[in-house]
Amino acid sequence: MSITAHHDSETDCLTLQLGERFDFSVHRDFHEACLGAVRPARSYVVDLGEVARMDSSALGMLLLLREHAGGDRAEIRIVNVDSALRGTLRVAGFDRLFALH
Amino acid sequence: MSFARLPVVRHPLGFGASALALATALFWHPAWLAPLLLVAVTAAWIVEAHRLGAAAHADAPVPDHEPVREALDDVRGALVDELGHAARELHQALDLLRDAVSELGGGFDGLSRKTGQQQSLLKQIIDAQRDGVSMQDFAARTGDLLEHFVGLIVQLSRESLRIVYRIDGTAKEMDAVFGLLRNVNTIAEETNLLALNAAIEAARAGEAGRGFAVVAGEIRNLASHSNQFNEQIGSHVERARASMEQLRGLVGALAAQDLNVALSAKGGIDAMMEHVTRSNARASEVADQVVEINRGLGSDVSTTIRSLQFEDILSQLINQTRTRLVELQDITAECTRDIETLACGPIDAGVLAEHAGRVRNRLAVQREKARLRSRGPALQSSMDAGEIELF
Repeated sequence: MSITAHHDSETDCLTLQLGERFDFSVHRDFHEACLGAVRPARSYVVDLGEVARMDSSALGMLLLLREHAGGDRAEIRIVNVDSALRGTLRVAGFDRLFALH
Repeated sequence: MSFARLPVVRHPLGFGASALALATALFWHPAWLAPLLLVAVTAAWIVEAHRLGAAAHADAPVPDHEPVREALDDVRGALVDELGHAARELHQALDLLRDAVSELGGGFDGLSRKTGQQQSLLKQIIDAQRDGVSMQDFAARTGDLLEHFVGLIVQLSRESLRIVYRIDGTAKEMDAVFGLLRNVNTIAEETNLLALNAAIEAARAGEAGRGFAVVAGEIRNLASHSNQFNEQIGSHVERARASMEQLRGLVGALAAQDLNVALSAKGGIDAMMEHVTRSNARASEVADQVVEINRGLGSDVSTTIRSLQFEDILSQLINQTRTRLVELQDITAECTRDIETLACGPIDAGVLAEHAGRVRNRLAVQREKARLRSRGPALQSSMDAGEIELF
């Protein structure tokens, strides 16, 4: 599985650790890891530290996660973003929708 | 010693008058006679002296005045010619100066006009740059457009993913239908088996089971039909699944767009913005410098044109010098003629004084003219005085 999910039951925080690819090939895993859940977690951490390739479907998945987690009330932190990924996220205006670290 | 050297012979009138006076005084002596005699003797001596002087003059050898006259003529001719030449040369110089200055003035006027044109053209360029759509605006708008475009792509991906997830859900339902169809298949097979058993039992019953055998055959037919339907449904569902899988692939391709193109375009726009900002700043700096240089050029040209006023001053000076030379020509001619008269004529105190007086008078008149001229209103002493208005 290219996505590792870890749920901290104490804080109800779901951490998603992405692999090398964050593109359409992982959409099922992403769905299983978070979108498919009946009840959303209180907060999410998306770790992009290992990601080397990202396309627009990754951004679509992040937007769906935001919807799933409550839209404007969602608490999602995207961490370990390197400069190239940060550029992509900025062009898409994601720095206004997510907390980038 | 010659006879003529005797005083009595040389002054016969004086001695004669003196002797006569002595004799008269000896023989006749009234009181009024003595002064009268004294006067008469003195007059006689004076007349004698005059006569002797005149005789001496008449006796002196007449000098040859021709060489002196010729020399003085030469001097006069040479001086008058030279002065005339000098005056003509000055006139030529004045013409040359006027021509050159007029050409210089025309050239500088042209330079001044062209500088003005240059400046107004430059101003037009700067104004056009300020008023028109700047490269900065263009780059900013392109950047906005790019972000809008990227936003659209991301929304498209999101919606495509939503559809893909729906398709996945539907596929699961299809799998469930497939499972149910397998159950229906089992039932048909079991029914077929049941019909077979019934047929066997009917055969064993013989004639009595003939009707049952017909029923058992119909049931087998039913089972077989059911199986056929099942297979048809199965193949339809399978095709539907394949179609959905295709649809999933298509929608998935929509969702997965490469953002690197947009990203590099964004980088290009940022670099362009920076470049445009830098080059705008540089252009404005250069324009300022050029305007400053043009201003300096205009001031230089105006100073130069003002300096060309030296022609007026110089013309006045040259004209004055020419006038002096012409007057000097006249004076030289008259003075040498006077000197000639003095040198060649008989020496007479009265004539001498008269000629000297004339020469002195002429010089005095000339001096007065020169004095009046130097006080004249037209002569300018400096070129800094006065401003030139450039058009």
